[in-house]
Amino acid sequence: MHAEQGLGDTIQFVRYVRQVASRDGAVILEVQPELTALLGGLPDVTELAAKGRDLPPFDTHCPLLSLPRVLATRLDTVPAAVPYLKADPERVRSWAQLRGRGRLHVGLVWAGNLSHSNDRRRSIPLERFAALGAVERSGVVRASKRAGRR
Amino acid sequence: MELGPQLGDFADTAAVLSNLDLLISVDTAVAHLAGALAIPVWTLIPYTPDWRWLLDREDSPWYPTMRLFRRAAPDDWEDVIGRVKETLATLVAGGAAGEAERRRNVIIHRETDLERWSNPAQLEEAWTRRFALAADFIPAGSTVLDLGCGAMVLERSLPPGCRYLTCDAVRRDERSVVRDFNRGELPPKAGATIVTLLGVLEYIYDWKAFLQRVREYQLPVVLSYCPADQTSNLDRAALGWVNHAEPGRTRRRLRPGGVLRALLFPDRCASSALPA
Repeated sequence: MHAEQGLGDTIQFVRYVRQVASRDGAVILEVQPELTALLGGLPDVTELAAKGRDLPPFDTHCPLLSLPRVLATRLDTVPAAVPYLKADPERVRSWAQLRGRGRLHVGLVWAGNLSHSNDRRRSIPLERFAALGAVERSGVVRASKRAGRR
Repeated sequence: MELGPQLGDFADTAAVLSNLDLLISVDTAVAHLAGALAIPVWTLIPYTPDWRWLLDREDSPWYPTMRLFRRAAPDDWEDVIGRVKETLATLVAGGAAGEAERRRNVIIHRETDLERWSNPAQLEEAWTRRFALAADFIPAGSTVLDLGCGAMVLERSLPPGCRYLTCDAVRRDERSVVRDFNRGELPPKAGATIVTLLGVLEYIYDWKAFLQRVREYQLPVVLSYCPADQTSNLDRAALGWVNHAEPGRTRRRLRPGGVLRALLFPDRCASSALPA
């Protein structure tokens, strides 16, 4: 199974891998290099490959975004059991200093990848969010990825 | 605190998100990641959204913990940010509205509301009469396993010669066994002869799986449940109720094996107002 389109698409549709694995045995999953660390622990994946690297031999293939049609899921049968991804507990602990004494810890993402064709339409200038900062007692963690991804 | 430059890859982003109570995001991969991790996420989407967000709905069939905020007009971000701010302010402010919003947030996170159950003021006295009614179904001399025992009010109504075993999501007294039913954890049988489940099922996300586990005790069960069709006057989510079954469905689920003895209290639902 291979990623196409954006990183969000891969994250959204990788949920179908389980259904495929339960039918057909070994699954080779090819994703964008930015996602290999995140998706490394998926239990139903026999081999995870970064896009652009050589693939092992395979018998058949399917783009991730075609799986809803192939598996004939509909709005009410979309596999929506969450979480289907998990953060690495070690890394979670290493970011735990983010949690101060505030009651609610809120993250904010105001822009996506600048190279995305539609980014201008979906992003919101950070200044517009200034209004949210005025909400008391919520520590806003700004986690924009505007700087681009490595 | 701005983290953009410090984030190495998406495994780091996932770790950061796991330390948050809520993510507010425009339509990006990070919003998807929060949804996949079951973290509450408010996604701000354009007036003409991508196909996957459908139209005219605040929720998403893809991500149970996601709430969608739609732009009201093509170039108008002010309106949507205003609505986000208002919702966030309600969440932060506390009070009855804030508490309802906080509970909604717990529900979309699919968690047991430990903050609520740790607060004795949240154990509703309005339900006291239910315990007396339930006690009528318990034979004298029983060993009662009270799942979700709360303030242990049932004990006062038990017939003579009963032993009382308590279990809840937080510690209640020196006897209580602590279990989070939403994590599939149930206490040992410990010699019980009857199980009570009073005002508990409303807070269980996967109540079918939970009842299956209860059935494995092979004990009679006295159970109460407020079915959805009897509570059209109530905001169930504001009460912290996470499931919305109808009595027909509930009864069918309770019957197999003849183990569960259901007690439905539709006429009592209205007494559970949201505590101020």
